[in-house]
Amino acid sequence: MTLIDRAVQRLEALLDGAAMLALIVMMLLTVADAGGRYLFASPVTGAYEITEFYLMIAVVFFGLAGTERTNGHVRVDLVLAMMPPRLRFGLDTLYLLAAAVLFGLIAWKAGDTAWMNLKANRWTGGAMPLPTAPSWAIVSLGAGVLSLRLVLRACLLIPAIITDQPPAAPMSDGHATPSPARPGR
Amino acid sequence: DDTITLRVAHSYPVRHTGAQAMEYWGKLVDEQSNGRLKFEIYPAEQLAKSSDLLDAAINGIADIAYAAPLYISDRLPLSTIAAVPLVGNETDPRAQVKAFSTLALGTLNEVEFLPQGVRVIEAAVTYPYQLMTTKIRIERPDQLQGVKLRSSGGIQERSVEAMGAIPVAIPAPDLYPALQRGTVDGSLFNVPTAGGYKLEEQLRYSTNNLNFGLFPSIYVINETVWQKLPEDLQNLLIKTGKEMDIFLDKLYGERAVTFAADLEKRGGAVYDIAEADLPLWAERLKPVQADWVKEFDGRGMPASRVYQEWEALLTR
Amino acid sequence: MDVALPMTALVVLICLGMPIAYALGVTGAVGAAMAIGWMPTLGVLQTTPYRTAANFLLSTIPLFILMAELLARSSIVRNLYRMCFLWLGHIRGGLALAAVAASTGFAALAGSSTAAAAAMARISVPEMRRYGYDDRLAVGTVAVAGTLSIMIPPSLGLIIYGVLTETSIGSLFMAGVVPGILTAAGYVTVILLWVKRRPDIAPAAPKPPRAERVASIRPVWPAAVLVGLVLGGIYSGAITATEAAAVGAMGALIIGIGWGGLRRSEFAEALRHTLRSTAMIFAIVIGAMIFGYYLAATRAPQELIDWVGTLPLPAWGILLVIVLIYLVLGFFIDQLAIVILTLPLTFPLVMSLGYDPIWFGIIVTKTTEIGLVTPPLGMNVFVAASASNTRVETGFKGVMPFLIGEFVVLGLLIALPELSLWLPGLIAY
Ligand code: NA
Ligand code: NA
Repeated sequence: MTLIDRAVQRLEALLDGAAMLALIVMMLLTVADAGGRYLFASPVTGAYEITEFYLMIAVVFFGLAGTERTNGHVRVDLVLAMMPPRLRFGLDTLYLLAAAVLFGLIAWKAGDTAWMNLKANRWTGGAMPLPTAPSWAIVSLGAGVLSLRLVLRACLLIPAIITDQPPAAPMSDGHATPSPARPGR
Repeated sequence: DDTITLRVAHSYPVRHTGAQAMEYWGKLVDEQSNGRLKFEIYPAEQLAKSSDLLDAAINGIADIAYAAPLYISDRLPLSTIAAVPLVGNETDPRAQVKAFSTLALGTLNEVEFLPQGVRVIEAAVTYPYQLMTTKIRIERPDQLQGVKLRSSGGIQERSVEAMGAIPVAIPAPDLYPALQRGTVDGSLFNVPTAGGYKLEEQLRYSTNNLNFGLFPSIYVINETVWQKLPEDLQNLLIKTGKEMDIFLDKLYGERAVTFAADLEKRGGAVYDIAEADLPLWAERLKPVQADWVKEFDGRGMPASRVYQEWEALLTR
Repeated sequence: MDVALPMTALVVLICLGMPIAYALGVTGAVGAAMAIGWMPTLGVLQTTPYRTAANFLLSTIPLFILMAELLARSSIVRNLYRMCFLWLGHIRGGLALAAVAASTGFAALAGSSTAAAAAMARISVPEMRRYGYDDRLAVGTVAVAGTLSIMIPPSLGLIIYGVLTETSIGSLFMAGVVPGILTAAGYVTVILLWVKRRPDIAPAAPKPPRAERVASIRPVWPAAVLVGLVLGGIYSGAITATEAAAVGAMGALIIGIGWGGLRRSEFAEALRHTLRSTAMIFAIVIGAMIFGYYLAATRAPQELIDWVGTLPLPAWGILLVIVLIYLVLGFFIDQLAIVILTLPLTFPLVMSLGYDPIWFGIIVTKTTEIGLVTPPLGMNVFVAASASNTRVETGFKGVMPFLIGEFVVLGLLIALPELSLWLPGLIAY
């Protein structure tokens, strides 16, 4: 089990790296586009589409699994905290499995669409045409790894329901500080 | 009872002209079928984002859906033919709508829609896109060198580049302030829609006789649903759809008149490019037409055939 | 079609601690399957997640978060607080006032309220403790003042409202200025009244020499440059509101490395936290979208709107009911989820009553600000408490007096639309 966990964690680290890279490129590309247009009257062709179809998709979907592993998804844990541990673990397992099915379906349908777009040779229509299949493949990969992570967490919780003890190895993120900010609103 | 109710999904906001037209279409269908056929309309992207409405009809989320080829040019590349600039010499909006309807219900259905499991039952185009500017009155394309024009992407972006102008991507709701602040010097836009965003308060000039493409609007029905409809109701859908076009054309005509008046009030004008200068524009935009054909032919699509048919339909 | 079952399931699951994003997605998918069948539901799952993320306008979300994360890690915010502290510290309650002032400045820089609360909590709460301030005052101030970031432009809340309702983001930004200042004035009033009644919670601090105070202004210049770059860029027309996020993040990075002591490891950390927050936000948006499609398919929203329209209430009465619903939802549910779930229903309704879309955006944002600090789910209080090692209950207790001020400001904004609409009308952005 820990072996699989480690493999998935490595995969997540890889996706995280790709997402961070996408974020940096997004920043640079948009600045270059705006700056190029304002200062030199020459914007970056395709900046809009690259951001929309590749970079945004990568930043969002490659970050999903790592966020799940570090408990980054918001929840109301008031009632949960008052429950006996066994019930809590049981509920958590159900939540994880339900979400795993949902994101599994999402991964499957996105993968299917990627394949269809590849077969039909579909491209966007701007001044710089881009193939659409890769961007759907990113969704499929990101949602797929999240689904895997959810199943894995559920599997690690099931022994806890039986023994009534919290799961043995808390899966750390490598960086110890708790997220100080969940910025957003 | 044998009432058939069809789920109709579109993306227009509730008070938009397009939404009113859909209500009108639904009313016609109900009346003329004596209540045998009814529309249950889901406006404002309630059932799917505008880019996903085609899929909504394919997947059965809706029975009839509004598909805008320019929002999904990856899925409906050949239907973007309408947006190719300066094809043919037909300038009457009603004739343009008729031409596109013929193309869409015929050839486009065959080569682009039916293979995806949906069928075009109604197709129309807006008024041609014109060049609209805040300060300078443009007569010849060389005046556009370095001018910043908002484009909504796709073929329009290529047209803007072909004229030597700088395309800037700005969402429609932010176009008004962008014109005001000078983020852009103008935009390619069509008269009825420009009025909807109150752009006449910022614009001064608009060409009248150019054609930077038409905005195609298509309504598709799920093919399985279509095949289950009795023939008289199939015919009714298509007939009433055309009656909706007339309803829209009347509204657009009224808007065009007030739009021109508003520009004149601001010391500007809706003006014609001189006959003698028209070839200059045509020459600039020729490569955009050629590229369109070449690109899709290259991907194994019958683009030449669609282009030739479209050109023939739009030539008086 | 039965709306009650999936709706109830959603509320129960959220209360029982299912992550909100998953609860929305799962109940939405099951509900949709009941309403329109499994094959169409798979169609919803096929397109919704992709389309939610593939949106150029929403690229401002990760970029504004990145900007805030970078700022929070460099010395820019620290210097800002230090200046406010040196100038205001000697007044009774002055350190809390300094936190409000610095938060206002941070709000003009960044658009994310939780990032603001976290940064300010780490910087100012230890300072307030050192001078013997009560924890309730310290943490309450920081949590509440952090919400200024979503009212004063640039603001993620206003961006999301603009994208969802197709309202001009530039105009919304303009409209947030006066309500933001008014809100800050409300906080100042509450602090002054509070320490007047209970002087013991805020012991006086010594007045620093004038030279030291003047010297504290200089290190604040990077912040001023950034504000000029972002807001100046937007309003001069050089860049669009969407591009401002990228320019701001880039500026924060350059200034942070060049003049703010930002280390490489901190840059990586900022990227990672941005990723986490972005994934968290978009997971909720995707879940809310799936649930929204299910709701629409049942036609419940339409029927609700029709029903509200028939209520024997004047327009303002209906509006007050809507505001009340937002406040109540704000106690329990994540603010972003509320906005995404409800706007497709409330926006057309409010527009049909003849209200201004920009003004309604400000009202919704104000209820969001309040929801961020009300128990039991008050994200800013969680963040401020955890970043300052305080108990969450202490934070909520500290927020209570501020809520009175918040409601007064909300009432003013509702009663006087000019407060929001005057500036965008003047500059006609
Ligand atoms: Na802000
Ligand atoms: Na709350």
